[in-house]
Amino acid sequence: MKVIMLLNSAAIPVIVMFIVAYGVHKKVDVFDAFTEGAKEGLETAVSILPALIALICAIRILRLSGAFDILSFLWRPLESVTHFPSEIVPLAFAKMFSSSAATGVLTDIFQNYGTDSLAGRTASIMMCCTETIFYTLSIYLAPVRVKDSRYIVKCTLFGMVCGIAASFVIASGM
Amino acid sequence: LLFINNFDKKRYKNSIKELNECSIGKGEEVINKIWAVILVGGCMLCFLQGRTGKIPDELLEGTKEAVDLFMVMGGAVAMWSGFMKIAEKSGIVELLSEIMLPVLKRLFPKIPPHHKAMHYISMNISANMLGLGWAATPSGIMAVKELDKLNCKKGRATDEMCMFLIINMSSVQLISINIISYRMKYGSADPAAIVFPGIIATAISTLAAISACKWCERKEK
Repeated sequence: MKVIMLLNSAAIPVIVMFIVAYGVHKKVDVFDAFTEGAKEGLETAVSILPALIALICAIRILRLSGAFDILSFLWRPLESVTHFPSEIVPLAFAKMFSSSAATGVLTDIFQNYGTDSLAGRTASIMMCCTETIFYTLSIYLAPVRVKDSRYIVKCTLFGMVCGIAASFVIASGM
Repeated sequence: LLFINNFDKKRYKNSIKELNECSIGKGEEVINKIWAVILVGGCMLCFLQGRTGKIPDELLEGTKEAVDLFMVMGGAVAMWSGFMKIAEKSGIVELLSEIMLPVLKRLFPKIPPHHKAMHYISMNISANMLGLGWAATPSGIMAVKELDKLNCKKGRATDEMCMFLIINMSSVQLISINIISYRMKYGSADPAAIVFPGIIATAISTLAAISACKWCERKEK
């Protein structure tokens, strides 16, 4: 535990130090290069903002509508068959759209069922192996104006379902 | 009046042009559909439950959240792009992609090994593995832009783009420090107990997504 925390707190300083020191060693104009890159980065960030507003507003509406509760209610009959806790179903859907929404659902689960319950463990592992699919898809494909995303969503969802199933199986065995 | 008319005509012409440009890739446009379904469906559900009064506030809050996120993200993305530019110019990025080449060559057989796209892809994947999300975003976008230069059917994702995005969205992060700290905050007996299981689950989801991608790629030929 302590080792992980230490590694985590050391990672960024080490990366930054290494990049700058190596840059100086290779006689790169580090300051100029940094500002040049930062300018491009700002442009990237600005180009993402419209998609961000669109997605976050939509997610807000979805959370307000109680659709997540309905999903977990719909899963309830299947819970007895699969033993997969219905409290986690909303988390899987929230995570597809935004990490802040998913974090909200996750902390709800932690509060209501405890971090070390089956639901808490499954939720924790699940959060590690899933990504915000639709957010990533829209910010990466928007700049190149790709409209036909072919099989990307299908395959990603398949991977996600496998990850969720694996999380549940592992959490059950813990 | 004439001026206004001309202006309108110009705008009309422009929008027609845009429409033509957009319709090159006649695809499924998943994001469009999903976004529309969420908004329309969400509003309808709110209407059924009599929560419509809260929608305007919620929308405004949403824009605020997005702009707040942008303020945080904008700075972080700019900073990481700056460091990455240094890394690019000093040759670290090339070195990194050299290290990852054996794996990347298999995943992206059609990209020339020393193409810029490979550099950005290796940068993006390593940033994601370390959990540096803000550093991953700019390199990911650059990678997709480079991949688009190799695209002969604009508007349609290439095989490489599909593979790259699928790997990206299947999560390759090794240690999710956020989850550990949330577990700590909510009084877990062993917050880090999920680290190893998390890595296994991540490996499974990534491998499953990659195999599905390869399978689809072959099937479409």
